[in-house]
Amino acid sequence: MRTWISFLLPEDEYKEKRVLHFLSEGSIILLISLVSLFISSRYLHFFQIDLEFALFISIILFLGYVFLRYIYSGMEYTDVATEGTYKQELKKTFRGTCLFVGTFTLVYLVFEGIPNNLNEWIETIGLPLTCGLVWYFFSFVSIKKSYKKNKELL
Amino acid sequence: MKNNVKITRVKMGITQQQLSQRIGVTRQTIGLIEKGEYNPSLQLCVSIAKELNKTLDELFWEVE
Repeated sequence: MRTWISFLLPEDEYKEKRVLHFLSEGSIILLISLVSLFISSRYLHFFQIDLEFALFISIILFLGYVFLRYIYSGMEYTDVATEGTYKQELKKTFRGTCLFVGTFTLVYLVFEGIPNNLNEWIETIGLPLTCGLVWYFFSFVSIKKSYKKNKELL
Repeated sequence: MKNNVKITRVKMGITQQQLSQRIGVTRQTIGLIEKGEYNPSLQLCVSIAKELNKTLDELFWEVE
């Protein structure tokens, strides 16, 4: 089927179908939230939200929903079906996360300079470390879900 | 939809990974088709049938 959204979709037929479902569900939820926001701003004068905040919430709602559905579907790591590949993938993700945190911190130090005190060090390392932890957490959930699903399909 | 894909594949001595690589889908998709948890498109059914040297009837028609 020809559609301009093809570039966003996976090549695998099953994955493509599921991702399309997630995008559709996300769109419906986004539409409902936008209609709700419109009604509240038009008729509920005691419930007013800043425009910028409303737009931000809408974007996060859509992206967050699609992302979480994808992570929890267990279809990101399609080849993780044995304990060996599961552990291997976890190690690979851990190494990738460490590399990301290290590179991020290094680039930050190059542009911002060496921190002078403990607080500045915490600020410098805090952001990449938090990003790394969040990234690892979601990757871990995705790998675990994929492993569980794939194991049942063997 | 139940089918004969798994029986045929095992008889031919092909792994899920090998079959998936030959028809250009993921191993997970083959597993889901074999378990009857995903109904493939006609195009994918034909690819599987060709790869397993079977007709669509033999693989997908009214499996008990």
